[in-house]
Amino acid sequence: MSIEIRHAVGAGGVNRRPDVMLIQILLNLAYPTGSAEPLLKVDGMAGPRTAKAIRQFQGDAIAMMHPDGRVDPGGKTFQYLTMYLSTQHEKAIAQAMAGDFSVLKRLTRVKKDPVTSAGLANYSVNYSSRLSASKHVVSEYAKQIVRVALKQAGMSHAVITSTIRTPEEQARIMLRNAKIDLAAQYRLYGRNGDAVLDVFKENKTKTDAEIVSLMVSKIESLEDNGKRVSKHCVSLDLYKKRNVFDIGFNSTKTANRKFNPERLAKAFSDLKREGYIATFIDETRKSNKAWHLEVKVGAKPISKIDDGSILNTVNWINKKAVA
Amino acid sequence: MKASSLWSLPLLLSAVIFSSACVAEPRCQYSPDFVSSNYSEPVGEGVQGVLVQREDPTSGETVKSLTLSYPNGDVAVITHKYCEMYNFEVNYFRSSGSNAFDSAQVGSVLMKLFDAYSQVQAEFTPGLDEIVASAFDEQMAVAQQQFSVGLSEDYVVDSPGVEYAVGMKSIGDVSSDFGSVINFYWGVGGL
Repeated sequence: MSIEIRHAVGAGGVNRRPDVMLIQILLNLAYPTGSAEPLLKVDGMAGPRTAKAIRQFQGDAIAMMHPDGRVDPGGKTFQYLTMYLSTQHEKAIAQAMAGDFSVLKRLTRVKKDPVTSAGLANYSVNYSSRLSASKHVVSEYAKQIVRVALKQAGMSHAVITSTIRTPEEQARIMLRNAKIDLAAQYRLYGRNGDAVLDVFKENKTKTDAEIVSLMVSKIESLEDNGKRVSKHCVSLDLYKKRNVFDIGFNSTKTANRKFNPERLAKAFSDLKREGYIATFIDETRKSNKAWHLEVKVGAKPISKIDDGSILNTVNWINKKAVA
Repeated sequence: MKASSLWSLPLLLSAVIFSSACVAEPRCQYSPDFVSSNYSEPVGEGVQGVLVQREDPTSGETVKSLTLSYPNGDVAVITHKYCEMYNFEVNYFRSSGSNAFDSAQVGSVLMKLFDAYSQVQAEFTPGLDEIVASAFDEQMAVAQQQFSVGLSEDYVVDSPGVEYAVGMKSIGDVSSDFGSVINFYWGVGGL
């Protein structure tokens, strides 16, 4: 079942009955009473109690400065209302919309603090199963930055597919991507990376194993002269100061029920502009199919709030959750 | 306007449109006009500059070069290559009749060129001239007349993620005009 409304609900909305019913159900799920009586009666009538509950939610979960008491199709309030729905929730909603409220009532009896659930704790940033434990070196600070981006994008999971690399891992990745689009790789690497790509270009007729071996030799000879080929390919000490990692497009897509790549890219761009992310390269339309992020650990305290910062929401919610 | 000129106008326009489409094809973080007119101003009295703009055939990156000819016969070629990342490179050709090698002077020259022409600047601690001079002293001490070494990012304040290097190569055996070439590379962004 697709959870969506056709027209706006609440103050100034069209208030089509099925749309109002759905919003009332979603608000009941967001504010479980812990008793048999839900917050709102699901009658499809948009009265002052429904508008008040929408405003309450807009303040609690989205930290809107001026809650307007209205839910637009696909808008931010709707996005936040549906962010945490499980398959179980969706089934219960479908049944309720058909007139059977039994399962939904059980769900709303479980008291769950909506403020806490709107914080960052529910967003997961995990490593791909292909990454060994020795590669699990991304700082908690960097993960929090990614969680903020997930929240802004209305997504719940991000999967880290690449962190620190050995010369051999670097060579294999460059070989794979160079085979797909060599010109794009030349654009993405500096002079040292280009020298390694030249090795690929000059030895295309050899086997992959031979090419990788030659590329590794080139990477190591450059490193001997203090030159790094990729920001992924550095010492652990340097890596700990500056986390360089990729969020995989396909694995993140698989992990999310709601997947908004454009919104996630925008959130990363916003966080870069605010100084939380040092470098962001959207490679999702390139051979690597990933979001490349570089985070200088502790560069800017996550609690720091600037006017208009996208962290305002998160800080406000987290403060309220702590209080 | 003559009829022949009118006839050639569509051809000219289509050539311009085709040419800009080629340059703009990759989605670049740095647009082709990122390096603008100020890369063309020669710095220093009696210095003459020649500009060349092209597209890198391998990568499609925009390449803008300025060749500076100094009164003492030295020549500096300053190159900006960019799209996803910004690459700045100086190749400073020392004329055969140049004075004895002075690492402090080389550091000073490269720093001035970097300050004057690099479109992405940074603060260095210590100064870039000292970093370069120190690298040259270190390499010369082990009798390396030809080298290329990476320099530490730790010296770059609030580094935006850079790689930079200096090097030197003797070319006296292949050039009658120049004894050696000094290279400085500065790359910002990328992977």
